[in-house]
Amino acid sequence: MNEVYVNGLGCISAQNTFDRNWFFADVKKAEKNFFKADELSFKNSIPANIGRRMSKIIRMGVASAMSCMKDAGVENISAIVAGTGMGCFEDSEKFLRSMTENEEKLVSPATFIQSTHNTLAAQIALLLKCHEYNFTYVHRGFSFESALQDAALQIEDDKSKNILVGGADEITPAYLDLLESTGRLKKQNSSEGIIAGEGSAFFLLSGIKSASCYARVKAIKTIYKPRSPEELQTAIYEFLSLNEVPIPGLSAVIVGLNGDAGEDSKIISLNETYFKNTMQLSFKNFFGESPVTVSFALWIAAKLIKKKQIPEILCINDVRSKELKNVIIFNQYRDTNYSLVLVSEC
Amino acid sequence: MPQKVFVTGIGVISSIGNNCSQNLQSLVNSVTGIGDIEILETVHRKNFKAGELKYSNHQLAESAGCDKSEFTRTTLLGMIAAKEAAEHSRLKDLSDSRAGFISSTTVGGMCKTELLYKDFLQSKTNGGFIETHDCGDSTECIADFLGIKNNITTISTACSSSANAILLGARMIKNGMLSRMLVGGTDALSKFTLNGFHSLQILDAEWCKPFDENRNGLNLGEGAAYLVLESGEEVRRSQKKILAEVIGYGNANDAYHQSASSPEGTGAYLAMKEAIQIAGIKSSQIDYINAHGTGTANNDLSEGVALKKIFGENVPPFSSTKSFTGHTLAAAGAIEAVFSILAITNGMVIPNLNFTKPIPELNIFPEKNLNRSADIKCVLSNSFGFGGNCTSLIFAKV
Repeated sequence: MNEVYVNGLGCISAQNTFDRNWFFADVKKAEKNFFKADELSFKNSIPANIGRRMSKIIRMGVASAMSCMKDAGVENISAIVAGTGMGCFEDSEKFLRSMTENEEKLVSPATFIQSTHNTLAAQIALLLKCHEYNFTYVHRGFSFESALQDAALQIEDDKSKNILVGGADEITPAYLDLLESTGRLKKQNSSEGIIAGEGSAFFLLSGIKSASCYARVKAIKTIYKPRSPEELQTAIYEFLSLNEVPIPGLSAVIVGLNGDAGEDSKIISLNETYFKNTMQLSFKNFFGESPVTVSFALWIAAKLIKKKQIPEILCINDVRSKELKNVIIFNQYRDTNYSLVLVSEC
Repeated sequence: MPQKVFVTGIGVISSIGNNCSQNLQSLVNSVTGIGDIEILETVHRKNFKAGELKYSNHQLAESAGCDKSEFTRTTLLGMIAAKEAAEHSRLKDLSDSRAGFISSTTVGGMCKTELLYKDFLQSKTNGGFIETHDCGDSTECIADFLGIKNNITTISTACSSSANAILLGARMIKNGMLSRMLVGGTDALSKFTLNGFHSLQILDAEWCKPFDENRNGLNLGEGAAYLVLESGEEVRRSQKKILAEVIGYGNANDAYHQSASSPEGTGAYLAMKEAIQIAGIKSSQIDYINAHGTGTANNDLSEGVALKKIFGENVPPFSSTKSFTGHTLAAAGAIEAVFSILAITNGMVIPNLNFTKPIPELNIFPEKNLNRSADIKCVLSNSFGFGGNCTSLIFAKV
């Protein structure tokens, strides 16, 4: 893989990530079982007349993408690649409800037009008048990872490209009701279920390192339905060997524990064995679970490496690294979609 | 050295047939699959025609050879076409790390969600359909059905989705990232999309008339198609029969409007231009164009303007096969890629049904009659979608 540099980033989540200087000095708690992204934090970054017509996923996505471009100081984009697990749920649900309640009569087209999964990447292209490559990945816990892989593949072809890559997902009241009805949401003190999360994180990736560079994305891998922790361990070992980062060379592992004991079991098992002597950081306890959760983990990894600062609140074991050179993100989504992202200093 | 990208297997199911040979027969005999709606439960059955498969989900599950009829219709259609493509190419081991699966859909599990949502709104219980609602569901069910283990993903770029699945597969093989890919897309008819396009007033109550002056909108369709793409190295080793080569692809955004195409056809023009440039051919070498041609006033004019910008007054023979299948949304790009490959392997130009008078602003004429003695060396296939997503692919005879 060619060198892929993170030259800028922008993030909206339940935490104060939209503020450039914030790095876990204070953290917000979930409202019941939902980490809700705070609209007020990015309200002024989208003109009100445009924002009103957008659903929350579009507002979050557009605001984080614009913030990312500003951070990188880049105006011309060579490609827009988005990932979303559930897509435009708010508009889809509105259209579906109106169609259902009106028995297929007199349904307004506005929400249908904006219900397609590619709406976010399309809206960014429209705002930027960007005619370049435009793609949307929609595969559960691989959505953002696939977008990252696509960007890396493009940079392999042409390292001068500036690629805007991001993940976004929204949680609506109807979606929470649906999750609740399936027992997916955590009940108090239960070891089962998750706390839902929403938000969006965008990155400006390029094969050329800028002065504002945060880190390098060294490699990305997705693993589908591994049967055992051993199978995962083999995959991680091969992944690290291929990229010449042996376990002692890892400064930290950012693990995607989501609080559901069953789903977390393989990661927990590797934390106790393979990653025993590695500094372990957990992030979903501040962001919630979402298909594009690795975009938040990448935001953390990039900031960690640039700031050379470890927020104690993220640490879940006693190991502390002196330096921050190589960080691996190790995520699980529904114990089905596992992914690895290796992030290194630039 | 970039790898060549060959097509070694194709599979398709649409309203004109359950497999490649049935689809080919219908194309050759000018038999459309568009007709009255009989399976989809909708109040609009009498108001619109559609390219619908006249099988229940149970029958589709039987024909796929899987025992679970609780799969969504999107999944079942995908299983049938993906299985045909894999068998056609005699792909045996799909589980190894050099293989991958890229699927695409826009409807996803909505075809099931819309049946159960009314009850959920009232009771707030039994929301289990949310587990199959998203676009990844059909992909994972198909992957499990075929034993695919690695490099799985799903694309959704509206009506260009499966063309983009082919484009991505081709890029991955060309770069040497992977060697064997199953790529394509699937979409079932749904009340959601039928009412959506109706609310936009772009559904024709009669048979759609792509590129005709009096075109009055599109007919929706359903179906799925998949292609097996393999690297030059892989094919040299296996000595497999090659159906065609993917020589060009282009992806651009119209950046004009969320649901309408620009009057200048900017996105379409840029996608075709890039595809021709990557293919390294002259535009005059294109022998047949399988157009996007939905039959809406807006698309056909915009696409036609873009065609004239690329080809001048010498637009090659072209047709929209949506006059056979209806608009199958995310599946359209892959279904039409299969038809483009059939045009190459059978030396034919497929007709454009229901055309009588050209669009005055364009004065271009799609092929009205089947030409079975054409030497088709290069085919351009266009797929454009909501959100300005435009993709063009070029297939060549080997």
